Amino acid sequence: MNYQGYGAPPAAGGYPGGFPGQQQDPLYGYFTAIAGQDGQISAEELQACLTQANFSGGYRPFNLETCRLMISMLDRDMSYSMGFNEFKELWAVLNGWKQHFMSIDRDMSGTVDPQEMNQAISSMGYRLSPQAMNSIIKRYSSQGKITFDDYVACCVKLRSLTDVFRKRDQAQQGMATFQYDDFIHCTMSI
Amino acid sequence: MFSIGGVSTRIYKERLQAEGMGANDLAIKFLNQDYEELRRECVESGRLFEDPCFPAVPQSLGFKELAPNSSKTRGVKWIRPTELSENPQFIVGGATRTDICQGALGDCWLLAAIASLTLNDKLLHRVVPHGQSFTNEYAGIFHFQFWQFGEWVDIVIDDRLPVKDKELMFVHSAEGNEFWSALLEKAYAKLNGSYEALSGGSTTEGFEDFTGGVAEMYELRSAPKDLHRIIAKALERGSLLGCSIDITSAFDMEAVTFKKLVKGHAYSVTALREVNFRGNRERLIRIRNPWGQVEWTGAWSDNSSEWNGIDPSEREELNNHMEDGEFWMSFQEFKRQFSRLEICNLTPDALSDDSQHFWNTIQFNGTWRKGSTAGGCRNNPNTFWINPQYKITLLEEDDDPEDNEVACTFMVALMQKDRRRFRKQGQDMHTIGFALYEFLGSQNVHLKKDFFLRHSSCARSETFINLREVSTRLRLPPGEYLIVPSTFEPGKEADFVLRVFTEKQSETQEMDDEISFNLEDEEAVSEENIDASFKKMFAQLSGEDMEISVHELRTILNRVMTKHRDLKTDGFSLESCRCMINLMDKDGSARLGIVEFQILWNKIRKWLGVFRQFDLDKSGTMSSYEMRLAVESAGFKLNNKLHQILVARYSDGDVIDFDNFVCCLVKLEAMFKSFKELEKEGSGVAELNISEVSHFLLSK
Repeated sequence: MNYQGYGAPPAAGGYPGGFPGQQQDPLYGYFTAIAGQDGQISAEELQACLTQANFSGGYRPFNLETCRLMISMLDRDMSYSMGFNEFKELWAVLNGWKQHFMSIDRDMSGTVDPQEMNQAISSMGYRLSPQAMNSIIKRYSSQGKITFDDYVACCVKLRSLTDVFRKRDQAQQGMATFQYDDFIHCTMSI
Repeated sequence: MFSIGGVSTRIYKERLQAEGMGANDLAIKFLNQDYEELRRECVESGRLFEDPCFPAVPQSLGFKELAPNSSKTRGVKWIRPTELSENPQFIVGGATRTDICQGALGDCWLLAAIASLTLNDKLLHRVVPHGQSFTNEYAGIFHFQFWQFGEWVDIVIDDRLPVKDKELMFVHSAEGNEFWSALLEKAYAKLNGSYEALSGGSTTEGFEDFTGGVAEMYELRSAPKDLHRIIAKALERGSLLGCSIDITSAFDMEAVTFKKLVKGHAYSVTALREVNFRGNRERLIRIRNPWGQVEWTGAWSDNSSEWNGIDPSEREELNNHMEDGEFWMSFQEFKRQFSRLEICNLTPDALSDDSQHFWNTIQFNGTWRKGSTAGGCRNNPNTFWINPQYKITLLEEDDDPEDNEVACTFMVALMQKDRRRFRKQGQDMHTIGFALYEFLGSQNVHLKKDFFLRHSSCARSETFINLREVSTRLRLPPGEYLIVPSTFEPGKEADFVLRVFTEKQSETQEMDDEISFNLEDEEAVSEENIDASFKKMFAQLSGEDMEISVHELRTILNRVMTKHRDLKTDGFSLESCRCMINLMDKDGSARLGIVEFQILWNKIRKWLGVFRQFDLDKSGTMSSYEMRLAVESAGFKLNNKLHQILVARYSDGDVIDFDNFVCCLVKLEAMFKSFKELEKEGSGVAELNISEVSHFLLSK
C-alpha cells in the first residue's frame, strides 16, 4: 500500500498544559460529586459521571468497557483512575467526537452504517488499508450498524494507536518496531 | 507529568531515560518549557514572560489556608521585582545564608535547605544556573533545576511574585532587593502544584531535591557516640545538615524557648569548630535560623561572656554580632537543646567532582498499585509477596581496621514520589518502609507467598513512617539479599524510587518474572474429532447458519454461568463476547464456526478449573493478587508491569469475576500468538506498519 502519513485525532481543547480555573468550571461539579475525597475516578465512576452529566444526550450511555478505554487513553501513571484535568481533556475530546458523529448520523437514529464509519475515519485523517478498515468495522458494528458508544470506543483506540505507532516509528518510515514485552504491554493496555 | 498520553507514553519515557535524559547535565524540561527559547522569544518581541503553566492567579497560592478568597490571600497582588524595587538584583555578592528570610508560608524546612545550599557554590549553581539577572536582556523569565526522583528537571518561571501590603508574601532576603531565593521558592511551588503544597516538611526533602543526595536522620537524645565525627565528615564532604526541636503539641509549633530557640522549626548546621576556652578544648557548632532573626541567647551566643575566654583573633573570626539568625553554641548544649539532626550525603547525581568520595549508587523506580503490587507490610501475609522485589549482592567487606566484623556497610533509601501534588486532594505521604531477606535461591524470579511464610527478615527500615523518604544505614555480611519495599497498609497507591548506596561495589537487580507463554501443543481440533453430542448442541444453539453470533455466544455462556451458582458474576457482557469472537475468529466472518467454538469451549472449561482453584475463599470471585498465580497456572508468566495492566483493565475494585478473567486470558493468548507470527525469525522484535498495528489494537 501507499503509506501517506499518520492520522490526526480530533483536536483536544482545554489548556496547553496550563492551570485550570478549577473552581469556576461547570464540569467540576459533576466531577467532585463522584470523585469525592481522593480527586480520582475509576472506570465505574467515570461511567456514572458521564451518565449524570447526560453527555450522550439522546444516545445510549457509555458501557463500562468504553469507560475503561477512555481512562487508559489518558492515564499516565498506570493507576487506572482519572483526575480532574484528565477529565476535562477527555470531555473536550469526547465533544469533538460527538459533533462528528452527529454530523454523520443525520437522521438521529443513534447509529451509522459501515460506509459512513469508513468516511468518518478517513475524514479524521487516518489512512488505513481496506483490510484494517474492514476488521475495525466488523469489530464495532452490531447487525450492520455502529452505535455512538462503539464509535467512541473505536476513536479512543485510534488515538491510542497513533500514539503507540509514532513513538515506535523512530525513522518516520511507516514501520513501528516492537520488542516482545513492549508489544504485550501495549496490546493488553488498550 | 511531562507529556500527554497514556501507558504507551510512559513506556516511551522509560526509553528516553535509558538514553540519558534527566542525568546530571541534561535536565528534563518541565512541562516542555525551554528557557532559552522562551527567553529569546520574549526579548525579540519586547514582551515580558507570563507563564501559562503557573499563572499569577489565586489558585497558584494554595487550596486550603491559602485558598482563593481566604483571609490570608485577600489583597494579594502579583508584582515583578522591577516594580517592587528601584534596583532589583538576582544575586548580590554571591548567594549567602542571609538571602533567605521566611515569609508567611510554613516552609522553613525548605528555606533551611536553601540556606545550607549557599555554603557550596557548586551545589548552588547546579540549582540556580548562572547568567540570570534583571539587567542583561531582562525578559521577566528565570529558571531553576531540581532533582526529582532520580532526574534533574529544569523549571521555568516568570518573575511575578505574591505581594501583600507592598511586601513579598513569602521568602525574602535580608537586603530587601535580592530576589533569587524568592524566585527559587516560586519555581519549587510550581513543581509541587502551589505555594501551599510546600507547607510542612522535612529539611531532608529539600536537601535531596537540591542535590540528588541521600538523607539520614539522627535522634539527638540517642545519638551515636561518634556523632561529632559524623557531622565533621559530613561538613567536610560538603553535605547539607539541618536540625530541629520536636514539639509536644500543636500549640508548641514555632514557640520560642526561654533562650530564644524556636520549636518545630528547621535550622541549618553551617560549621563546627574547636576552640581553646580557659585551658580546655571546647567544641562549638554554628546554627542558622532561616527567619534571619530570633537567635539563641545562651552560652556562646553573639553577646555572651564566653567569647571573652578565647583568643581575640579567634573571637574576631568566629563571632558575628548581627541579628542575622546565625549563632554558635557548644556541642553538648546542641545535643541537649535540639531533638533531631538531618544529613544529606551527596551522590554522583550531585557533583561530578572526582576528588570527593561518593557512595556507589543504584536506583530503581517502582510502583505500588492496588490489587497488583501494593501488598502492604509483613503484617499482611496474603499480599506482602506481591510488593516489588529487588536483589542486592554485597561483594566486598569494608576496609575498617578498627572493626573485626566481616561486614559491608550500605544504605537503603525508599522515597515516595510526587505526594505533595496530591495534597490539594486531601492526600499526603503514605507510611512506608522496607524489609531485607537473606536470599539463597538461584533464579531471579518474583518470589511468592511461601518464601515469606517460611523466612523472617534479616534487616528492615528502622520504622514505617509517613515521610517522603525512609533511609537506613545497614551492615550485613557479604552475600545476596532481597529488598521488599512496601506501604504499611495494603492497597495504598504510589510511585517510589528505591536507592541502594554501598561503600564498595555491589550488584542489584529487580526480581521479576520474564514474560512468557507456554504454548501447550494445542489439540488439533478438526470437525471429525468433535463428538456427536457437542455437534448436536451446537446445531441447536447456532440455528440454520451453523455459526455462533455475539448474541448467541452471550446467551450460551450466561446460561452456563447460571448452572454454576458458586460463581459470582454480572454475566458475560455483549462487549466481552464480541471480544472473544473477534479473538477466536479466524476467517473474518465475525462469527464462530463449530471448530472455533469447540476450541473456545475447551479453553473456558480449563480456565474455569483454574479460576475455582484460585478462588481460595470460595467467594465466587478471585482476589486480584491471586490473578498472577492463576494466570501463571494457565500458562502465562507475567512481569510486574503487565500484571498491573491486567489488574487495572480487568478487575472491579479488588476482585476479578469469571467473565473478566476469561476475556483477559482469551486476549492474552491471542496477543502472544500474534507476536510469534509477526516476529522476525525468533529475534524478539516485530515490525508493523500502521495498518497492521491498527489491526491488532483496534480489532481486539
